[in-house]
Amino acid sequence: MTNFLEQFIASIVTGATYGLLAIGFNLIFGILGLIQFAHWEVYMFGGFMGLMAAWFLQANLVVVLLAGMISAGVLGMIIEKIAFKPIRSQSTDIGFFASIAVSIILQNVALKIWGTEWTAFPNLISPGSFSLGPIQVTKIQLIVLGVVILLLVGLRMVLYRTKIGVAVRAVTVNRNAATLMGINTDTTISISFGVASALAGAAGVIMGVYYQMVWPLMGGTTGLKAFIAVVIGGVGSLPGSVIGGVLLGIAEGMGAAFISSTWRDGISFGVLVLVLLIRPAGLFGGKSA
Amino acid sequence: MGILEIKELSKNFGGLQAVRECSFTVGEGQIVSLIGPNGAGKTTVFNLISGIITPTAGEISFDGASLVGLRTYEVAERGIGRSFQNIQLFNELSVLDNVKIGAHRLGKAGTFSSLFRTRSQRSEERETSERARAFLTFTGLEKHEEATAMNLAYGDRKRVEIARALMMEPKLLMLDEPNSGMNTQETLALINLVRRINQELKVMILVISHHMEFVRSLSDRVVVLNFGQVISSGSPEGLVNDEQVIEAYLGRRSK
Amino acid sequence: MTPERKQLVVLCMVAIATLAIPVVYPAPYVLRLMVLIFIYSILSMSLNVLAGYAGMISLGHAAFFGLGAYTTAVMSAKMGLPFIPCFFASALVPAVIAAVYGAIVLRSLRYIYFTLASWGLLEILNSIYLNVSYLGGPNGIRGIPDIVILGIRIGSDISFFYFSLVFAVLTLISCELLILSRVGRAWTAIRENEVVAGVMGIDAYRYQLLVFMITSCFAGIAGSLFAYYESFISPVSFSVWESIFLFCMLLVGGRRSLIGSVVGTAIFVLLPEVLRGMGDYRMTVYGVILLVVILFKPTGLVPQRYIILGLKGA
Repeated sequence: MTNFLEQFIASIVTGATYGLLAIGFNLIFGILGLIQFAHWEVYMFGGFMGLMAAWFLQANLVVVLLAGMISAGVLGMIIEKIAFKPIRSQSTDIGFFASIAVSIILQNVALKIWGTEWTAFPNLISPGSFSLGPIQVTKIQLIVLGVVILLLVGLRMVLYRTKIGVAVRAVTVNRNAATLMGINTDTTISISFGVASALAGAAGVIMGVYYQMVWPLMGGTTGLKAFIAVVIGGVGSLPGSVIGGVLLGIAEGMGAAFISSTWRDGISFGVLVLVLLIRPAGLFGGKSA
Repeated sequence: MGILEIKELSKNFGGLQAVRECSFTVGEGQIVSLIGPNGAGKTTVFNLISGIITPTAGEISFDGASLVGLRTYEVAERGIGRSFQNIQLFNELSVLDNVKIGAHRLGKAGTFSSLFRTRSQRSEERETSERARAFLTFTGLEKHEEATAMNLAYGDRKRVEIARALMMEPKLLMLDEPNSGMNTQETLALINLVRRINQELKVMILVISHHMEFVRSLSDRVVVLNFGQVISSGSPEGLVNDEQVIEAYLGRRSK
Repeated sequence: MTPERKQLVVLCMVAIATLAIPVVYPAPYVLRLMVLIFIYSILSMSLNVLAGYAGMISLGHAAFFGLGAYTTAVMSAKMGLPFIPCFFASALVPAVIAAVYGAIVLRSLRYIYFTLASWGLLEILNSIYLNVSYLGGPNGIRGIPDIVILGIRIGSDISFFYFSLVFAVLTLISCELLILSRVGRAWTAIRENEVVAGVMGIDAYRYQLLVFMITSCFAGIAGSLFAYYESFISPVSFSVWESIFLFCMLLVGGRRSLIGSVVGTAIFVLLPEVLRGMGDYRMTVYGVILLVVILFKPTGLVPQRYIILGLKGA
């Protein structure tokens, strides 16, 4: 029973991170209708930049997190400018393949720089755990969860309480109308990309801290799952992404703990297909298929 | 030949009542015009008939059989063709290919016969091409056969849509604002075309139009829609003096 | 000379040159590349029909490639069955799976959701290949025998060259015939505008299911040839990256041009060899090429017109 609950908590933690990734992805999809396949590489890149900060600046957790977020955000904005802006007027399929191209490039550049093996992430959080009744919850888990919640709350506040947030939501709903209202759509889209990518970078650092390692291909597997989280939660629904992420983390964690872990991917995708069939718009999605 | 009967047709889009208890018929051999101000629900009625959306209430029947709940392609199979208000051609294809697609429901060739180029498939292909060319000539577009659809002038594109709709040999042809964007000369040509379609090809016509001359010279009957409701219907002549129609288009006469 | 004539001449020259390769320059290395080009062309051409013409972006094409390969591998290496039943089964199994999966999925899922569902199928199948020990797990299946038809053994590189070339050509002709037929027009209509296609009397569900099945059949055939040629298969050849790889061939070669697919396939099969010196930068170069093509020539290198057997295309 204890084992079960501890596994459950671990799943929630990973799930929350999927949610963080998913929400950024959803932001981009919402505003551009674009499947940003390279979002996962931005996540990976953020993790590595955090690592660099930890190594060369001997930084603490907060600085590392910021380093990851800012560098990822900037990277995201550069990608948007180079690869997506020129083809914005074309069909979204093309955008999808452009993002795949970017993803391949980033992944392989990272492989070249950092090699195929994982790199250890320095220990930034002193080990320790708390007992909640019979279960052990580690300090890391609590901190990770805390950071994710903080970021999500921050995002919500930005989106609903600031002028730029309103602009982002306006452009998401109706780009033309937003332009007519005097909103600079190009800048708004750039900023959305930046924010979404920064969140991905944060997720990268978080994963690095939690698992104590980063590796160039971490974008691939995790990204996939975040993608599934988006679909489950519902494309177009930000809270849905988070919930989808958590649910996926749970399903995957619990499933893999009690079923062989080599079936993990198969299970994740099985869940995806089932969700698609039963409720293609996801749990909270507004836009239908 | 058959009759199109619309009875108490209603469509509610989650609070917006687009069509409200609309009733009218298109009789055998007739040309009926559906008029009304923008947003009156005319295209919605078309979409309901085509099966693109389903009615909230009411009945649509053609040739005695109900169309409600049928999928779009099933409605087409019953012999109802249409054109669209904002031209929906297959833009990257040639004019001829656009029109050839229209013949789909009459064809039979499937995977097997196409792969093995059976005699029946080849003769069906020939026939399709010939009929396509014939309808292009009928609509005056024979010179544009090879042109890419999106490169054509607006008025020509409208006629391609009509030629494409004719290819399925419809019993009823629904035209959604076929003359919009046309000048006087083109409109006259279109009036002639529609008349020929009705009389030579024996096709019933239901047309949406804002052009009074178009409506008056072609229609056997006119149905006026406003806010989703039929506010008047009758002969074209009677409409000009109808208070309600004038009010719908021009607003209330100030006393 | 009219453009069509010119194309025909070029085509003939290429055909003759291709046929002459094993005679003129029979290096095993060259022959091997050509065989891979032929096999992957079958995949890319069928994907072109599915995604380029019918507009169904499927990430699962490699799954059917894998199904064909595994069917052949199991039936020949494990069960010792001869070529003909293995081959036909490899064509049928993918079609059946496509039929069943498509019937369920196409009822409600279109566009990106269909893409995801197709990816889902691929991953589920890959999970099975990786975990079921009978299928060899991550080590795959080895010891696939040579093809023997009517007593003739197709074992050497040269014989396989011509053997796979025949299938590539047959695929080209079949896809062309289908595209130019009433069925192909229905697919085009559905891709352009599903609603309007319905108004023309085209049942989108039925035709999408049809193209899904037919193209998976071709993929299965390619899989069978692949299994026989390599004598060994493993799940790594059938990942989602293979599907993406195929799309790269399509995008660079030419969307909706079957000849373009072949060109794209050749480019992406030969590129690793050309870039051999670059070692680790290879994949990066692919990505850059893909991005450059997308940004500057999104419809690909070869335009849509093509001509075979006197039939003009659209």
